[in-house]
Amino acid sequence: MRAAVRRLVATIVEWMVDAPRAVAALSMLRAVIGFVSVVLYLRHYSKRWLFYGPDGVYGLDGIRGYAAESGTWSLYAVSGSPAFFEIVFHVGLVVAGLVTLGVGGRLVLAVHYAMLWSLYMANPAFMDGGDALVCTGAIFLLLTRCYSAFTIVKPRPKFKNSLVVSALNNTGLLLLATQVAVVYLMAGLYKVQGELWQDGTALYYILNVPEFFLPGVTPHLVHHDWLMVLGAYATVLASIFFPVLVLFRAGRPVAVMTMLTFHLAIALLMGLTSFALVMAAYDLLFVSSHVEDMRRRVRVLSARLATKVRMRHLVEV
Amino acid sequence: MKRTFLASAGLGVVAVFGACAVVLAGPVTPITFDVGSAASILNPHLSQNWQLFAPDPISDERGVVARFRCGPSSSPWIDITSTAIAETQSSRFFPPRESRIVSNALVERFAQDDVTKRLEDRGRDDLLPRVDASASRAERVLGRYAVRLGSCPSDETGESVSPSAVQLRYVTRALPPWSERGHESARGEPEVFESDWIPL
Repeated sequence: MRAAVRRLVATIVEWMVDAPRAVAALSMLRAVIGFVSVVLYLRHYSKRWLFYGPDGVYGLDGIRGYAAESGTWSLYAVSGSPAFFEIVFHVGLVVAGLVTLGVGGRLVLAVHYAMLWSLYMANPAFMDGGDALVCTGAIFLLLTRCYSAFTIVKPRPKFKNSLVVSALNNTGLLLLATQVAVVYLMAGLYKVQGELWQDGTALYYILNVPEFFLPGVTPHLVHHDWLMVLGAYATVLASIFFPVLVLFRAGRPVAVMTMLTFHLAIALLMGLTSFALVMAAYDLLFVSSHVEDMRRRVRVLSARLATKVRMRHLVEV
Repeated sequence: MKRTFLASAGLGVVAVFGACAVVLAGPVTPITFDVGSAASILNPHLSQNWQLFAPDPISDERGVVARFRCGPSSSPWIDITSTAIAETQSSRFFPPRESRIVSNALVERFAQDDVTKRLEDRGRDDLLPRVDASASRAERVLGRYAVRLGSCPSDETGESVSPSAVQLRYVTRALPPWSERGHESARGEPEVFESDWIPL
């Protein structure tokens, strides 16, 4: 018995400190966080003054009041100067682009967090669960080697991973994994208590809320009773069992594939594209080797394609 | 020794975070009263609210119309909800979030925490908090948003008149119940609630 416990402890210690784990999936999460942030900046670019400006819907006093009430801060609360607002907004946009492309390392990621948090606090009405996960992700990714892949910058020559670097990376990874497990578990357990989820009619109501309604599609979908009921029950069961399934290696691909399907449906039918993308990137942390495989295949394919193009060009010349 | 220490420290951080996250994201229980303040160390940067359409999702349509005080008279009501909703519906990928200004303010305006809800259920209206800070902030945001979408009509001389206050009318209407889906006539009667005049 004692030997078994010792072996288990040794395995856990080895996993924690011998090498940074899941760096491909962590890098993908970093790129996704950058990408959805760029989209958030650009999507409302023409109305940035109305949504975030010192004279916008919250206004300078409103932003200051909200930040003070929440015990936080926002760079947009520092000054009411139009030039200052433009500088903060545009620096935020550029930094989000750098994070997406994997340029600048974790220092730029930290700056991105500060800029993005400030933006959220300038208009908290825009925030959803996906944005809260973006914040959590950006903070925990600071501990990790999330610039090892999915970057346009040539990776630095490989250096020996120290125990500390590995331990920090793996702590960050486990924090992110814990976060997503808590999200699914709580979302699932709260749904179990809901009458509409028990009745199997919750999806009917959600899809008919004007903000999530998809003209031309929703009216047809909600007439399929079985689809609505099974969809509602599958949502609850998949959420609750996700944290359990990912504890076992064999259960991970099943759990992740199920949730990816679920998020694809959310993105298409409800228009919650950013939320779905961020959740999918979190899910992929549990199958990093598959992410690495996919990345390798894409690289091989693109290298082959580039060679073909070059050959054709040479023949033509 | 160093390896074990590093691994234990990392796992310790993860365990503390996980416990705090569960306490904050979970329902209010006696444990929340004991350790909630310690767990709220995660707020606001790592806030935990994952109800996500639960326990019961919204089952009604909600909207806001607004009118302005223009000198001695008031303007006609204008709809400040539908345009943004139409924009959201017309764009499936990364739709604009403008409609959330109204929908979020509506949630914030009428939100009740667990304790308030229980007091109301037990008929203890005397203990209910008055309109709180977040409700008045929501009205202020809606007022400022309304001014960006509409204004006072010009006076007889053609001079523009600045609105001095805004009044909001909240309208909710139940969606047709499941058993009568597809029948628009099965929608519930609109329920209306008007705010006081909010100075601008």
